[in-house]
Amino acid sequence: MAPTKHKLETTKLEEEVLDLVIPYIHNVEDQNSVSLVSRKLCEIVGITRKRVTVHTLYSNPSRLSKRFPFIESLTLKGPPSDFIRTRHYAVRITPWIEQLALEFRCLKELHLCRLVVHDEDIQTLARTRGKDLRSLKIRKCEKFSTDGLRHVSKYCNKLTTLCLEYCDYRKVTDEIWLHQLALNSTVLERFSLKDPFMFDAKYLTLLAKNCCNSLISLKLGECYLSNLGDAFRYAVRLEHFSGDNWDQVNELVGFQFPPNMRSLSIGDLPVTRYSIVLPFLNQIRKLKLLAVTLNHKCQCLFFEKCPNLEVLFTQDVCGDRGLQVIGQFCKKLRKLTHNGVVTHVGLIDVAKGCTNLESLKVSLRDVTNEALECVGTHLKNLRDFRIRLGKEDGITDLPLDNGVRAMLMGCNKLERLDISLRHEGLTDVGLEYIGKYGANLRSLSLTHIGKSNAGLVKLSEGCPRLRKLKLRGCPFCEQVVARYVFNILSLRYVWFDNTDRESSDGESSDGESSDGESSDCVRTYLALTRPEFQL
Amino acid sequence: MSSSSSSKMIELRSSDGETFHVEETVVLQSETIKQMIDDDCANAAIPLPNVTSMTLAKVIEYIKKHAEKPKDDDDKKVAEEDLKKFDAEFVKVDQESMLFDLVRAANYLNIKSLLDLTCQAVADSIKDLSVEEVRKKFNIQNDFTPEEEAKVRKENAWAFD
Repeated sequence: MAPTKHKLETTKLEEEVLDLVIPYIHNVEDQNSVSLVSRKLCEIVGITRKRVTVHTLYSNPSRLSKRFPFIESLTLKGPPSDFIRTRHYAVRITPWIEQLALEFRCLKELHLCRLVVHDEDIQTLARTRGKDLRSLKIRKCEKFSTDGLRHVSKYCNKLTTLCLEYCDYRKVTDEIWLHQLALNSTVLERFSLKDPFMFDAKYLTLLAKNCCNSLISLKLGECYLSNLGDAFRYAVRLEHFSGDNWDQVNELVGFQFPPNMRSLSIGDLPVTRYSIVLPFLNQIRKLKLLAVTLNHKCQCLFFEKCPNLEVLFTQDVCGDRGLQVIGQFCKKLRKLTHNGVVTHVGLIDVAKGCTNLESLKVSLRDVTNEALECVGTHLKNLRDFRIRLGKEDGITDLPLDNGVRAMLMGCNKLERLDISLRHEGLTDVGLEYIGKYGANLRSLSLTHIGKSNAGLVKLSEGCPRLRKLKLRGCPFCEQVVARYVFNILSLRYVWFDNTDRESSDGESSDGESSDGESSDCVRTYLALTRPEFQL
Repeated sequence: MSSSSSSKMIELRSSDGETFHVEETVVLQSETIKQMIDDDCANAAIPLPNVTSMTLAKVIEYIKKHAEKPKDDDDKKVAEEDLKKFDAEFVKVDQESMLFDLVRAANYLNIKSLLDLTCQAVADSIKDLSVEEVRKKFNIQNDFTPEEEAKVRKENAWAFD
């Protein structure tokens, strides 16, 4: 056999193996690498891929259908919330829905996030793809109304998941859609309606009755728990509930949750009615106790009684002692958001105690390099770390450059880092460390960080996987930001605002691109990412 | 339904002419061979021109192990654990080419569980490789034009997760 022929054959054989292996590659970054290997592999990855998230600012419907014609699960995302304040960047869903109506016959899940959705879009979607959809999530979208939702109720009867969360409705006319949904649904497992309107609980009761064998998760916005008693009696399989209670104390007498509760997020549960959650604390995995109108309280009682807790959101007022209790009792904790005020002492306790933490958000009154080192030493699975340092004086151990380095070296899976410090909290050296050791960072938010442009330049030499960068109150000049941050090839979105003010004065953010010379230092500046990107 | 009374032997012949004798109940895990037996083509040795003796020996080792039946429920749990360990060891081969051969053999013989196991092992070995490393590993030529490649690269980075 001639050597060239032999070589050709082995090449073919190896390629055949890769063709077979492609459906087993689940990591998106690995799929992307393989799609760049050759034209044929790009095609195979495209047709075998089941799930895609699309950043609509960077794509168009026809490209999506060319590359991924057989996807089953599609997430369409608009620009990050900060950009949405600027009308210029709002993305209308209509052309995408029109394409979905014509193609994508395998589509079972559609998730829309931060997009402009009109009632007509929902109608087209429901009529064409509705009967096949198993999951529909519309989050942080705007412009549609409850009239549009009637089409969902009418056509999408096989939904197991329906989430409508934090949307800005054009109008809320009536509850006919909800009534119809309750009448037509029999297999709904997860229903989320976290929106700023209340509704008649009798429809929820009907929904729970018709979906009593399936419903496991119910998430509401504001609600009267006392009105949900009947719904809970039907929904015997319910495991997750979320809602902000409006009841007075005495209205909750005799109220009970279903027996299998594993996750509970509740706002304004009166202390005197804590008894209604006590029976299932031992089995609970996720707990969020919010004080919306009531005063914040000590929550240590809960931490001690929840040994199986994996996700905790707390507004506990006990500071470091609370974190110590959490570290001592909640050994399985994976995610912790602590909205009280603590110091390095508590941070060290929780890092040593809860070594499974993947996500940690804390507000600090004081912090030390040692505490950050401790996070790096113990929290090897940390992916999301957000710290905010208060403005008070008396902070003892600045800058935190070495602590941040040790933390990044230890937590090498870290994907999101938000640091809000005070000036001098992190110098240019610290920024260089973030660039150097933040190899897996996807999202980075820095507030009051750095001393000069040189720090940003150093940062931009690293962070090879960064997608989103938010710089607030940092001492960099616009030109340097625009010139250097795009050295990070993966970067999609940049937010820059070099004022110390809160950036909520939206009137000035007109969305003009970076060459706006009138760089008034008070003006909020938005850089639309990737000006050179062409569809 | 299966009877343990008659353990009929089936003869398999590899591409390099070596013959293997395997119990029919074991070999039925291969859909391809099952089809041949159903079609009455298994009276003489079944030729497997795509599978070398070395690969076939490994495949037989795998299907024999997976044909073992636990006696009771307690035994079942132990057996499941044991099988998991076996699978993990099975794909730890010295030569990558052996793993590739197993993928192709599993595909040809249509043994779903073996295909899943070996493909997943190869997929795991690709993890975090660069594009160039994947090309090298599978000996594939880049046939993109620079413009096409740049376009896909940009889309991957910014448009699609």
